[in-house]
Amino acid sequence: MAKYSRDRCIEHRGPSVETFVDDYFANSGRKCCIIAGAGFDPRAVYISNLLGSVEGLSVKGYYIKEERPKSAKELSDRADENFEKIAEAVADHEIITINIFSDDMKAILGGRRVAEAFRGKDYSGFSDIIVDLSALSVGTSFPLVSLLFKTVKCNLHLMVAANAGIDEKTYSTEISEADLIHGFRSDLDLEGDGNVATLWLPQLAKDKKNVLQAIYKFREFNDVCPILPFPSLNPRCGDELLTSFMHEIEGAWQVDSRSILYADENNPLDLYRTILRIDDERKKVFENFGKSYVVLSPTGSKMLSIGALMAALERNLPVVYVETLEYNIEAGCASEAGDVAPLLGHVWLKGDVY
Amino acid sequence: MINPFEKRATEYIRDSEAFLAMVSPEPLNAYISKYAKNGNLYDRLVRIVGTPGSGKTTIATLFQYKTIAAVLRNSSVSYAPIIDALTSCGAIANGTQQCILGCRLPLESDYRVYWELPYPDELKSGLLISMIQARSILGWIRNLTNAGHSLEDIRFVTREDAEGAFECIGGAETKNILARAKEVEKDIYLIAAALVPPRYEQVRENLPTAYMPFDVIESIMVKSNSQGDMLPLRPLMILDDVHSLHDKQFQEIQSWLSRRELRVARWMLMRFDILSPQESLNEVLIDTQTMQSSATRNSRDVTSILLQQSDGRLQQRKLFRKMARDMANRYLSQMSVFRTRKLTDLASLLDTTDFTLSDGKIAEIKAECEKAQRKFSISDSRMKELESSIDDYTRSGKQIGRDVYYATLLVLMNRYVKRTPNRPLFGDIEPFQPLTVRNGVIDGAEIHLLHKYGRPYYFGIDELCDAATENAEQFLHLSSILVDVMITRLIRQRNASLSAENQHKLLRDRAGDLINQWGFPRSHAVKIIVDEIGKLCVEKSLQKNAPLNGGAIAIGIPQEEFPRIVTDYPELAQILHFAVAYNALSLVYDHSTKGRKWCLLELGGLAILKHGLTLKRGGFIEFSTAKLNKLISHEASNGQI
Repeated sequence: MAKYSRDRCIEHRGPSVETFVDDYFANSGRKCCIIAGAGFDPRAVYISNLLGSVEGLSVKGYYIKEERPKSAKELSDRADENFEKIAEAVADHEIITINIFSDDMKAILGGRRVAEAFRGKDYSGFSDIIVDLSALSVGTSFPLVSLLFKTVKCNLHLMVAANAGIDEKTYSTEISEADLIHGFRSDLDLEGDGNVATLWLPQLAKDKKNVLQAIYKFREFNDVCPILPFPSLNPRCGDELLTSFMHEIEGAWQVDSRSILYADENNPLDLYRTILRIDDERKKVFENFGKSYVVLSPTGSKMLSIGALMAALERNLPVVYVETLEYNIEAGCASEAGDVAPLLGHVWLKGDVY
Repeated sequence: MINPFEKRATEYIRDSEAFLAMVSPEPLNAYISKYAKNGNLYDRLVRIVGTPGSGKTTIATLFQYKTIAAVLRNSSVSYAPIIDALTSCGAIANGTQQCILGCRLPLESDYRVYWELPYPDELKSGLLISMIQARSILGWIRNLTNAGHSLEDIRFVTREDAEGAFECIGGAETKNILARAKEVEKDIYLIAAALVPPRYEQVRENLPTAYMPFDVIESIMVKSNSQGDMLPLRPLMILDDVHSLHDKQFQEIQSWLSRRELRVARWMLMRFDILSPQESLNEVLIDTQTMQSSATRNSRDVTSILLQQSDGRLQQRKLFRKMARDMANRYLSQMSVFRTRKLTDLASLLDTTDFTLSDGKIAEIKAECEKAQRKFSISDSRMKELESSIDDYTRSGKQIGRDVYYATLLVLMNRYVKRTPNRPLFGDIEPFQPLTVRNGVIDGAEIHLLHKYGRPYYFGIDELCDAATENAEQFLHLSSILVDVMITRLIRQRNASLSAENQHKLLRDRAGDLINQWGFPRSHAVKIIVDEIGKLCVEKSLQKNAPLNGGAIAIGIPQEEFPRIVTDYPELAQILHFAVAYNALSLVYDHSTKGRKWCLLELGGLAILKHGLTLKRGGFIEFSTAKLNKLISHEASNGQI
């Protein structure tokens, strides 16, 4: 089935997502499968509710419960509450529990396990599969989307309900070491290739300094081009991030000020196209000098992570991240989320439309 | 400007010369060289165990071929200590000739995932072992080619009884051996990296059969000069971060590498994590029960080296101070802001001029002494005796300020009261134990002043080293904040020296921040235990008679109770396992006090700084495993840990 490309990619943002869903799915005879996260995040509910309310649409839901060691009881309770709402919207559903870590806590297996869980499923009865990234972590969603992208023969969509306010109120404790996301290793770790040139494109984000330091330590990249969200909801976001990361930018990363990239915070295609452009230019330079890799780290907003995912899928780019050990969310955040409509995003990865 | 104190040199310096300029050879002298003398470093499996930041990777990097080559090609005098250390470790002969070809393989998580592949255990272990060997071959060849040797200059020498098997690893020519190693690596890599692993049948069909170069290789020869002389090198494989493996993988690897017929030298570097709670807690226990050599377990097949050993602690502390100072001075000399001003001795930038409280506060303490005299009805003559004992101490050359003087007097008065339980209402009797003033009492008085008046306690290079709990990384993390402030002062054209007050505040704040940043497994529970122990130690240390001199920094569990923790309190054992593995607590086995043996859980330097406790060791609070378990059980029942 044909897929997206740099020049042709169907995407929607904001209210046009709801319009698209209504136009495309309502009374169309389509059979939709939604794969989403079943977690504490208040955004977990939105897309399921949206699809569940479409007239005449048959929806089957697979909801992934990411299990991490010693999750706080409060978050488990929130997850249960969210799931009650989801179950009302999508009556035909199944929960798939994925333990992110091995029993001895030494291996991150979420990506491997989600690929294994979803590879054997029969998708032949569906016309469309929607992966809702809102409440899925990068370590789980990326391998899942990669698997579906390579195997399913129906329409494949990505959707997300983003809320920058909730992002700021969600805290995570990460493990201390970075790793490549399962299915996105490329050949980066091959010793036989010798020293390959690496260009790292980290998405700078608030409260992710430790994460980005761990990723830099993982690989000692030859060059670094940090990505700043611009334009963004907070117009000073880029300045604040630059200030926060100045020590790294001027110090260990040694970033030339001309090497800073800007990507629209709410437009995944902007980042996707930027990464492809850089990869193309780099290939020209390195074709006579040996291998070179553009390495991605989608530590920023969900919208931007979609752009990174699309580029990684297309060009088989390695993606490095740091897995989360536990999450926490500020009290009152859930009710505040109800007051603020999230920003919706949709990207049509492959299907009839191409 | 990069502050090198914020990261270990091994973490960000790739250039060998730059690395050598900053690394101290003291860990080799302290921990490694004694085994070279016994010939136990290269002919059998060597296990080097230590907490994070104890210097394992630094040691591994020093033994890499490219590092030793850099040392030897530079006749700079500053490398002489490193050459001496490497010579004493058998890595260099006669101070000029390289003997080993070392390559370091970090066993990061991609090796651990082989255990998750849907194949029989034997196949999974086989994949891991073949991958390690393939990457070792690639590492050795890459080290040599990066040093300027061509593939034609390199020759692998087989064991006498293994010539036939040479063909399985590519043949006699190095270029074919290299090609075969690359092929094996890629085949195995693709299996593990696949989004969905290939079926077992497919793997069996394509799998490289019997790729075991370590069974075959005796040594590696490299052309050493234009006349074509070949230099024999003992290949050394250093597996770093072995604790990342699954327990069964670890056992398989250890079993494989323990085989005496292997000619390749092989080291495994690991944290305590790899050991089960039983093993990790007992590793320290066994460590102190062994033979004449401190903290080692030597057998025919394995040499075990424990960094941050628990016996000979005073000696370890002294060694660490020396190493840390050396390391700090090297780091300072890399920073132009210090180098251009010839400020390359950290010790000289940490003011140790004793701090004295204000006259007003001294008057307060003096008034407290007078009040205590009245309250306890201590005679004037007795007071004079107590004061005289303090004067004797100062006459021996150790000067103390008036604040410490009166604080010490207050301690002595309380001790006098404790030691004269049957003192009549009027009159004076001798205490059942004489009251003498030694360093311990002064330390106790200083801790009291720290808590009551915020008098600086943590200042000076020795205190900084001691607060690092013999951990190089912790030393750097603590020093970095001091160095940052010094840089700011220099930029503002001020004296770089930090006052005692400054050092004290910066170190305590920094310790608190570092504890808050703990993110290792079970760190939340470890923080709770460490905090509870800290509070208990503060309470004990602030008793007016300073019964433990400087105070407590540990809790003690009866020795006979301790080994039962794993069976009786498995959750507690796991938490302690990580607390020890990540340097939050240290275990001191077989500590004798009052005719009894104790196992001490001693707070790490960060917790000591945070809670304001003495840096002197030995003081502990009697405790039990049941009470220790209660510290976490309350939180566990709330689902907090």
